[in-house]
Amino acid sequence: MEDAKPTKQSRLNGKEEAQPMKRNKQRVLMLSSRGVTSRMRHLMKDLECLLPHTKKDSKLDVKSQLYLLPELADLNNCNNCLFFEARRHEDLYLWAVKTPNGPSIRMHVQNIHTMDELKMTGNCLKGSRGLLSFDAAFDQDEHWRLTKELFTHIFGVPPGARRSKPFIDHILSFSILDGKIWFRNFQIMEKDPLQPEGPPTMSLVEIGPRFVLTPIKIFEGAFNGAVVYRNEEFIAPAKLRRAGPHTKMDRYRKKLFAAKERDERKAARALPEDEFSVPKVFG
Amino acid sequence: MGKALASAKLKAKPSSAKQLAQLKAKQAPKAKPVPVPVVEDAEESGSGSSESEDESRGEEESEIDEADGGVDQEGLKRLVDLLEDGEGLDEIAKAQLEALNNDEGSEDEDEDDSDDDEGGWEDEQAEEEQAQREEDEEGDEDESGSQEDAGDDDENMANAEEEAEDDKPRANPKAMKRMRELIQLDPTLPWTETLVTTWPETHEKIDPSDDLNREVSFYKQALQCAQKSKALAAKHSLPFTRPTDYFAEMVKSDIHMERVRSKLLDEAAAMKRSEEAKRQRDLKKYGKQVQVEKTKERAKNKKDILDKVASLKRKRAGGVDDLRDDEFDIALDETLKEDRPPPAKRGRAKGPEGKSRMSRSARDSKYHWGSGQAGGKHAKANNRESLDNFDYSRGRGGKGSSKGKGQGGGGPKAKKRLGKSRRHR
Repeated sequence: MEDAKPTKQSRLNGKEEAQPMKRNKQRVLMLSSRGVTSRMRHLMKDLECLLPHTKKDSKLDVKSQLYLLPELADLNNCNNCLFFEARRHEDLYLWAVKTPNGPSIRMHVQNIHTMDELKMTGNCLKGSRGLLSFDAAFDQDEHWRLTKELFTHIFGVPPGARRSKPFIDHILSFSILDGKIWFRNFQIMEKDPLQPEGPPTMSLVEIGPRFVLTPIKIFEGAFNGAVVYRNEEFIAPAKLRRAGPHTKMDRYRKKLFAAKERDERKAARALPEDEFSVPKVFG
Repeated sequence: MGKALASAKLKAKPSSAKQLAQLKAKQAPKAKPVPVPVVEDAEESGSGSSESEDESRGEEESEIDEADGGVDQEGLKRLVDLLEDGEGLDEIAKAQLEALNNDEGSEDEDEDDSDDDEGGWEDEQAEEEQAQREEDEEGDEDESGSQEDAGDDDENMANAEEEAEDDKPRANPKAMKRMRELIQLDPTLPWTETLVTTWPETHEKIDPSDDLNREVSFYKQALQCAQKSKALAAKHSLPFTRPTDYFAEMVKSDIHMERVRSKLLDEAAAMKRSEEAKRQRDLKKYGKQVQVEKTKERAKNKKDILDKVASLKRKRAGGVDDLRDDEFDIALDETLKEDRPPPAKRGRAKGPEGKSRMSRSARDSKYHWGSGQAGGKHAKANNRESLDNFDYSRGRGGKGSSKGKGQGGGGPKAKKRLGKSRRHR
């Protein structure tokens, strides 16, 4: 939320007293529902240590009482909320919410890779402010624009956030591909590690985590409100699993169908009784 | 995973659509009646799990909401219609809005300030109205979400509800735009407040299942943005590069980074090892190939010679019979000479200039007639002395008593002849 109040700095600076400096003040409440798996929990942990302006809270017990969350955020002095909703111990949904008045975006999280994986070799200061990078597709549709704005609030570390450090050494990139948001986090290396004395060339090394978000719905309020956007292409993972090609039901149905067809075939192929058949001749 | 899921999604789409259609047909009469919560409640009361308790609590709530909203539901409906029409806003709506306003009080002070213009009114009204509407909808949402676990009937119900939702518009760009403008950060904020950069390109042309290209594209985006950001940071005099003597806690601990490094080293070592093994294998294969080729060549040569001999024999047999064996041999030699490598030189070895390596005197002493200890052609032949000499112990031939050669007089010069294996080294 923007704050028009004069900050400490501007008060100290006599010159800027006349025009109070505007600050970007964001705090994010981060919590999950009950029933998250370790991988989801680790993802949360990673995000928490990347974003020093988050406040982590304990798991929310009941998924149906999401209306509690804006209150909870308010209690924690937060104006954003990231809620990880786990379903069936396998599907993860992410609510990115601007509290208390909305909007809120519900997304499906896929392809989670956490920082623990040894493939990602980058590293960065804990609490350094990360750059945010969006691709041009975020400016094309209204719902993407809204998403971008919200992500700017949630994933951008405001200056002077508690526990934040003064230098910049990583970049969070959001890219839209295939109707999904792909999240990557890279370390910025300004020197070639092989030639530290050579000319400064910037290169990136992935730190992690990485995940893919599929927006499902955008609500007008915080965890409630009118649906202002709905992703038609999204099919709930449970439904997908149910519609999988090799369910037991399908196999059984196929078997039944085959048996029925076989019977019909048999009946159709039965020959009429021959005039020289044994019972006719000798009967 | 994402790939597989995406493709699965693509594949599954028609089937699920079909399912939906079936469900729709099944559920069409059921889905029409609006007061869902009541029906739900009746069903819920049957099951006694803890979840259903939560459920029913949520249920009560939504019912309460229903009751609240039930007072002027008609008006609300009209409002909804009007809103969905778009701009249209008439006195009735305004009046109702005011009534609602009195109920709810002022939520947002900024809003109230800007309420003078009609747009502001509309926003306010839309918000409140939608808040009302959504309370119902949220109830539905939650139900559909939590009931998915329950059973088939409930699932069908959920689907039916989704079907019912299908009638509503997919996206409401106007509302989204309004919301965005509401929450938007002040555009006059300096860049250092947000650190946001936008890449001017999109990833449209990338195939999402092509891992390498996709990651390269993301990398490109991040790199360009990082470079742009560095320039911007320099402009805003924001410290960017971390000085080398600045140490602080990192995101990944030293232990973790050590693990990462050791894994990298392990990988490199494994790669090296496998490459070495591959090289050795290739070498071995090559060596074997050479050997095989050699044996083949030898076999071929032999076969050629035999063929030639055979053909020559045939020629001779068919033609002139009166040739003698010697002539045949000569002819054979001549035939074979053509393709046989020049035979190793027989006879005495010649020096580089074609001269004999042995001098005249050496040859004379070796090949001359007459006997004598100096050698010569009859050096080994017995003479009188040797005939009488029965001393086998020394001298040439002394040892060869078994052969019965009592050759004496070997003299002091005669050396002991080594065994064959030691002579031909």
